[in-house]
Amino acid sequence: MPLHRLLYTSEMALIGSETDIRQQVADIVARSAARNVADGLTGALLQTRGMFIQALEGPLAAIEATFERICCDLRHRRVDLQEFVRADSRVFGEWSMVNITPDRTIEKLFTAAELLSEQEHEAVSAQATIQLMRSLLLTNSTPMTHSSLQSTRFS
Amino acid sequence: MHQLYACITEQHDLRFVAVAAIICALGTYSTFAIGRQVFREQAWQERLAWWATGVVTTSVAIWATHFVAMLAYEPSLEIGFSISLTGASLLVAVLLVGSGAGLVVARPTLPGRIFGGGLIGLAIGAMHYTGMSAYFVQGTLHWDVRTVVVSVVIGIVLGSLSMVVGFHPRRTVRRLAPLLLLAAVCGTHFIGMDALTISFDPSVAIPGGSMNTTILSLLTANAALLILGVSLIALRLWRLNKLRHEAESQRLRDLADIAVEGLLICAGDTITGINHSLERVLCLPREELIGAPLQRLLPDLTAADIPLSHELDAILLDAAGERVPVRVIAQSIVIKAKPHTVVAVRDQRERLRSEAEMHRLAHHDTLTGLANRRRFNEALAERFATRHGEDAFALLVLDLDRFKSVNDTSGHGMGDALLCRVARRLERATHADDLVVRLGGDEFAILKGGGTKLGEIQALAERVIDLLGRPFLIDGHVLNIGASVGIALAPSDGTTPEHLMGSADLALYGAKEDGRGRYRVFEDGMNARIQARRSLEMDLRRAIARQEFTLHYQPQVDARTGAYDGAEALIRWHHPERGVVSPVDFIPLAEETGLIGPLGEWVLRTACTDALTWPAHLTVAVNLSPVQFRDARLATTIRGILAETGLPGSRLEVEITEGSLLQDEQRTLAILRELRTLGIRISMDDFGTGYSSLSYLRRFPFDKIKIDQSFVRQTPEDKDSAAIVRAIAMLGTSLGLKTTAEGVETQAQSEFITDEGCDQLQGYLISRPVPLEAITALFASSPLALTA
Repeated sequence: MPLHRLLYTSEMALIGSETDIRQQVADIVARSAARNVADGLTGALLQTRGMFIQALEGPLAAIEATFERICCDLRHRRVDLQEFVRADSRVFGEWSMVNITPDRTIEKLFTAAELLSEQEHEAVSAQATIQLMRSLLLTNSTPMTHSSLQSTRFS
Repeated sequence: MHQLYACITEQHDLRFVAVAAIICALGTYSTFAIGRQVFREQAWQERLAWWATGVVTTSVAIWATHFVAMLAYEPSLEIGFSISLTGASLLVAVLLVGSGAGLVVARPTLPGRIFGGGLIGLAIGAMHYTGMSAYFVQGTLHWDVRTVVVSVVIGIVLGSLSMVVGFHPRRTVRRLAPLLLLAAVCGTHFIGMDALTISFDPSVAIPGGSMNTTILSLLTANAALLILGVSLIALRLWRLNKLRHEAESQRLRDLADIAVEGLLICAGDTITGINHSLERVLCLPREELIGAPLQRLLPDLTAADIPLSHELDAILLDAAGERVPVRVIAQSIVIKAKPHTVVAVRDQRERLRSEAEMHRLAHHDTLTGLANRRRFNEALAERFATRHGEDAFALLVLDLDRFKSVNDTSGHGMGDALLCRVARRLERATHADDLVVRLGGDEFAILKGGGTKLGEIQALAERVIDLLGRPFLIDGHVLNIGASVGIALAPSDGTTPEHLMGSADLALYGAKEDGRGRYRVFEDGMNARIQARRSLEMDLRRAIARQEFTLHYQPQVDARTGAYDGAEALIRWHHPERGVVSPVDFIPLAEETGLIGPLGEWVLRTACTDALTWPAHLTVAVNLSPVQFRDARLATTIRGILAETGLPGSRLEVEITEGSLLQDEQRTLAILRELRTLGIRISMDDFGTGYSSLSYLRRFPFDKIKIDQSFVRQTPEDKDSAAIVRAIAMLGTSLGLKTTAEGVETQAQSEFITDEGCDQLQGYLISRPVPLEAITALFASSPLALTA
């Protein structure tokens, strides 16, 4: 079955204290991870400066259904599709959905907003973002000890 | 045993023994026949009557058996009977049999039957020995006590056994009961007689008043037989009657059970029967309902309340206590000579369900499942009708921004899928008390529940715009549409549904003008605009009748010779109050309202008539609106006008814009071909603007291309415009079409354009559009060349 990958950005429309919001995001990730296991989807969710950047990959129908759910979800605002392409392989094959919260240093270095505005809506930018998300995940264990990482292994 | 046998055969007159046996057999038979009848009856009065009959019959049988058997007894001595004691013995029998039978009836269990039967058995012994005390013989009676005890015990045991067997569920077993009772009676009697020894004693005198044995025997036997016979016949008749009633009831039940609708039979307010259909509806067996009050099924209703002439809506309680909507209608009938009410109970659930489904279908859009326009109109009317005083509410109308292009490029299937997704997102953006409607096509509306807090309404509009502005992924395609929203508030922006809807539409129009993906709340300025438009429309309708229109003509000249080729007819409206109204202002309105039809016809007729006054080689050019091409009779109309005015087709030129070609291509092509057959020439107007697809030039039968004046005006200075003019002129040459430059204002333009190879010039340089008299004068005065 052909794989598709999708990357979108959105503004968080969550209400509450920082801890509340962290909890809500953790819930969203946990729920989507559970559903993704059933749907054969993998992906990652990066949140920085009030924005979500989420990558989803898997079968077309499951991606479409999940994305439609996101598009009906009022916890997001200004959902913007950055990339929707056929993919040869999964980038986030190990994670049914993983939450990346970069620490402040990382946020300064790579704000998602900057990343996406520089070469707006172009495949290069989307590719760069996806690569960044993956490297954030992989290097998490060693230098970026401050990043919190909640992951659900995809099996 | 031998002794007993000898007692019967040797000491008894066997003929009387036979009579006794017959009486006894009949008696015991009737005991059980009547006994079973007691159990068959339901009503206590009838049970009591049959119990009494049974008791009397049985007692009389036992008593008569004893008595007749006593008469058969021939001790070869003079005998007699005491009347009082004989009567008393019958009374003893009746009392004991009565209590025994009563016990059996009251407690038909095994112990009840054992004890009850025992009592009846005891009755035989007690009666026998009481009866024996009424027996006088010339001698002394000696009783063998052991045998007496045996006779009594035999009676009790067999009597008890007969009752046990007599009401056994198996019929073959039951048949033994009369025989057992017979054996009890006979056994007690003859063993009792066997216990008796009489020694002759002449000193014993038979008391006076004793009955004569022969007469007595005849009377007794006859009376006993009569009683037994009458009882049995009564029983038989009763049974027959009963059976007939039962058959009748059964037939009634069968008929009722065949009926599809539920039937309920009541005596007063007591249920006496229900049919299968009603059992099914209720999920209750009829046994549970018979005898119950009607109100258990139909609360708050008495039999008298149910009308005979028409159906009444009511509620039926089923087994689970569910309220089933039904309709009831009653009918009086007589069953067993008693008035009853038959209530027909019609289950309305299926009808209500299908009505609800029909209602849903009628009020919902089949594609998206949202409410449809009809439901919306009803809801809106209701909101207005139930509005009190200051109650206000908001109406949002929206349409999708790029839906038409999705529908055209991706097909209707994709368009439909998209509309369904849009519907779901709208439901997410709204609250449960908001009514989301698909008005048709890509138009939706939201009738907002709750009040008119501006913040809430704006938040709703923003949610709608946000959700619909998000991409749609359908079958691997990314579709970006978006929505514009117009908001109107009742009652401030409209006090009627139409008015409010009009205001919301205006606000929507405003939102679209602002740029798509926005919302606008209705403002009074919008209303002023619509008012102005309405009044213009009304004036336009009157203008044709009042002949407020005139035609002006702008001449066209041959680019090389400068000779007049003809003129283009241009409409002018002289409004009595507004003054001259520009065609830019009223032509779109005429197109929208359909007034372009009569207006266009007037222009054609007038232009043709006017052209007849010109030299015969000059043509007149008339503009046709795309809307006119929607009328398939356009060619026929023009043919009629030519015939009517007498202008040759070759002197008429029609100018059409790209808009006419964009619609139904086949129809437009057919009209143009027909016009060509009339000799009419066809020009492509405003070429260079719009799509200017070259394929149109190839597909449609044009004679001329008119280069749009926006290019002409900027020549020769503007290089791009010059290039376009040159390209169009070359295109015309290569396709064999004439080219006309419109809006030629300067000599320089004229020279440039002529040099580029244009065939015809039109513009202020030659003449502004002038009234008929002026153009006629122009054509007459200077028929020859204007210097090129």
